[in-house]
Amino acid sequence: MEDNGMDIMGMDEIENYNTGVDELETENINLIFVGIDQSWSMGRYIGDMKNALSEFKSSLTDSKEADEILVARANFSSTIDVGGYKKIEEFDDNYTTDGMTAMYDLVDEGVEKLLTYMNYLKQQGMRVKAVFAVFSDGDDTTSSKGLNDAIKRIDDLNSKEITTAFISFGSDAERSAKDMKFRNVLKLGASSTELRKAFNVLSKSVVESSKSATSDGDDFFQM
Amino acid sequence: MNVNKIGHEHIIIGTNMQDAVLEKENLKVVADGCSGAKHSEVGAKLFCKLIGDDFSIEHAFKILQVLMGNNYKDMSDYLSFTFFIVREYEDKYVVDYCGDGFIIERVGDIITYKEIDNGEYPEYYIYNYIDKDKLKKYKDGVSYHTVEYLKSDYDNIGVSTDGIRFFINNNLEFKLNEFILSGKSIRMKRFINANHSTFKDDIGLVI
Repeated sequence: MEDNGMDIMGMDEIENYNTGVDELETENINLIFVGIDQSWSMGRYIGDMKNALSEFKSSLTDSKEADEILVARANFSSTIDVGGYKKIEEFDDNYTTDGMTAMYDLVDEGVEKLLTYMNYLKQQGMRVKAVFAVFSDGDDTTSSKGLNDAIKRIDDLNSKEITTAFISFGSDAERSAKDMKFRNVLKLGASSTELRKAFNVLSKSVVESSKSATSDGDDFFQM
Repeated sequence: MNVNKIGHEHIIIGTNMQDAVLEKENLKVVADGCSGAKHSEVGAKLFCKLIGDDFSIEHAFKILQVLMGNNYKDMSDYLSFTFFIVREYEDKYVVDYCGDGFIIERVGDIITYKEIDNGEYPEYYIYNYIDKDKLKKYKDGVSYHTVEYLKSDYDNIGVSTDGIRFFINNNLEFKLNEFILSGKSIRMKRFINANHSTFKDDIGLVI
């Protein structure tokens, strides 16, 4: 246990939590972090979210780049649940809502786990690119971490040329995304149609990003 | 399995990878472009393709010669490469080679790396197509060599460019053995990536 209370993973734990290098058939890999807001305010969109996540999964599974993509799904409401980086076939497309919005905590732990796995893969001789994407409809309301913690984390990703992307579902989360220094912010209206568009854009953007050897910078979203 | 990785010095200097590989059913080819020739990787790649398309060695070089307009300078710049070819038949492997490189012999779990080293002046087959008065060495021409391995004596035969000497000379032959026995090229590629500064020259290997 580190001083900040965060567990430090050993090599075996990193492999078990994520995907072991021997399970990968390529030396190039794209890590995709998808933070998904499951707070109660998304309650009216549960059905739409399930459909959108299912389509997101299908789009990536059917892409030529599927073998070079590992996705971590990270849910946040009053608590956070950051999953490991797994092949897209294992992506969980279920969706429920409950509680408040611990977005800064999600960013803090999500970035930590992304960088840990990324460093591990690089040490194993993998060539790694990453996208850190968050979908939310509102501001943080309950994190133990603060805005400055989240800014530091996102700044760190930006300085490492890791793509940072935020989908603001409705207008409330847009300010938060910009405050946290996400380099790519996509603002969409709060409706079923726009929600479907959000994950459609995200899957397209992930596939396009995976085709390129260079960082996306502030040109991630493919409309 | 096949591995084709750029050498660390090529990255530092900013030159292309000059090794080429081809793996097809019953056919393995590696070609190593001369580091002193400007565009030798072009010839190396085209040669692999032509052999893969079932052209003989002579016919492949004739085609490449015509492509270069029979210009000796262009032939020297583009077509100076070594080659190793393994053809697999029902009862044997037949290796044709010309220039530096390795023949990899596997019997059970025992792997032997048979080095072919021409010293300072590798045998480039293209010399046969260049006027003698333009050549410093091999004025009498160059022949490719043929070795046969009976399947009753050998489990597998592979070939490699001379880049694998950095495994052998750095006491990493055991790692190379592990990769070959595993049959997983990705393990070897990752190892090279993780220790790239050790592997100064390009590597092209098929087994």
